[in-house]
Amino acid sequence: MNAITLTGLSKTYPTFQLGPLDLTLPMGSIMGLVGENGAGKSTTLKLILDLLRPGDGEIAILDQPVPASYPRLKEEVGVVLEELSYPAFLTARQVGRLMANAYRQWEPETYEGFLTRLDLPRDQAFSTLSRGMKMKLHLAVALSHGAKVLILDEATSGLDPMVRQEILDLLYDFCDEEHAILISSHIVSDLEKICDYIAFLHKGKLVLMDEKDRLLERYGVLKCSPEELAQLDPEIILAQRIHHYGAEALVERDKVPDGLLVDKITLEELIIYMARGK
Amino acid sequence: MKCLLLMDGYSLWKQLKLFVLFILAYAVGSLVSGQYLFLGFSVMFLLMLPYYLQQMNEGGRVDATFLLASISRKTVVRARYITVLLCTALGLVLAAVTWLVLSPDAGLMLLMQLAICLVSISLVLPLLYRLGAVKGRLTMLLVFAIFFGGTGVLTGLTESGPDLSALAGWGRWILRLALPVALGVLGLSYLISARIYEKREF
Repeated sequence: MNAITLTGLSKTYPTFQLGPLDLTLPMGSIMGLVGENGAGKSTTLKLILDLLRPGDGEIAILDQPVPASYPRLKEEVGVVLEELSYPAFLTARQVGRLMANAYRQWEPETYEGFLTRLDLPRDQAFSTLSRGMKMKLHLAVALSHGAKVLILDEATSGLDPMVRQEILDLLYDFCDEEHAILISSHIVSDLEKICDYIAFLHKGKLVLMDEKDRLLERYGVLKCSPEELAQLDPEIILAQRIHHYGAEALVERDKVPDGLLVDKITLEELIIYMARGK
Repeated sequence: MKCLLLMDGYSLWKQLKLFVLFILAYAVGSLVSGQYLFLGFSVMFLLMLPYYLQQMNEGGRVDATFLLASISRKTVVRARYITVLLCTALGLVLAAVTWLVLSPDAGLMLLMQLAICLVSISLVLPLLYRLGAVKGRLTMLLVFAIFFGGTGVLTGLTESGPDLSALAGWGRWILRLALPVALGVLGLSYLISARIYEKREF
């Protein structure tokens, strides 16, 4: 079973075109959705969640069509979006009471457990919580109604390393064969820690989607002189950077002639090179 | 649905004391002056409640949060109508007590008041969903200024201009028809609001 399937999904704005996107997230895996600001990450997630209406294409969650299977299917989907909010005066305790009436599968003990584990105050107004605490509260809600798929948008952005690690640990614990996570973030190092798959959106187009380990194995950084770079077949150079000390190029390892040094690449470097292009 | 009503309840709880205080102040005004008109102000106050609730919504961010739970868009709209109707009912109960003290046979006038409330809500909520809290409130004020201004002009004409007494005979029929018509308008209003909200993007 697939957790999320997008087929030809697109959305058109006067100055921006997203897609068409084809993407599959298998159960039991974590996919990182990366891309620069305005690449279409949040738009994609909102389309999946029916907060935006698609121009064209099909969406399925747990192999069930969206939005036809909503709102029933939303029981199975936990969501943390950067821009979600509760009324300013609500406390975590009141949020729990509301959600108990919003989800049929609400698990009050699980929610209480997360409040304790994440050290969240039960009686403090939402508006007075720090950004990190707000994110943790959203995550506690998302994980307390038996969701099989988690969708997170910038859940770790703007948070200190300790809180980020706490959230990543929670996500790592969540994901087993019965669950899946789609997470978008600017912090590629976070995604590198937990993701099995990486999907890279650039200017509304999906330019890369593969297993993280396969990507890191397939691509590398060739370090050489500008002259050596000039002698290479342009077809094997995916992106390049020439500076005072020499040249660097993003290449596919198995296409590089023997004798040239190809370094390992980090996910962040790969994304930056891909975004820059040739 | 229960979740949304509970949230509106939390939102209105702090305002409730103020709300009851206003209604009672208008009621005392009516009792002292012997004029029903004062209670009309309570309707105006009631009509501000949806805008207050919408402001709590922080530009749709709270709605979006609840739409991510297993709640449909129609349910969100329905819950808001129910909240506003419950507040209206509370206001009218308070008004009814005052009116029946003023005049034991004020039943028809109470029905008229209820009808005015329902029609007003029917205007306010679609405007709110279509235009948002700020523009919606301005538009509502404009509509009411025209309505009350028009009524004032008509009253002036009746007193000093042509004889409109022939219309008085229709008054009782208008009162009797007001409530069913208002309920019909409310139903139509809900359908319009639900349609507007169904198309909304967050």
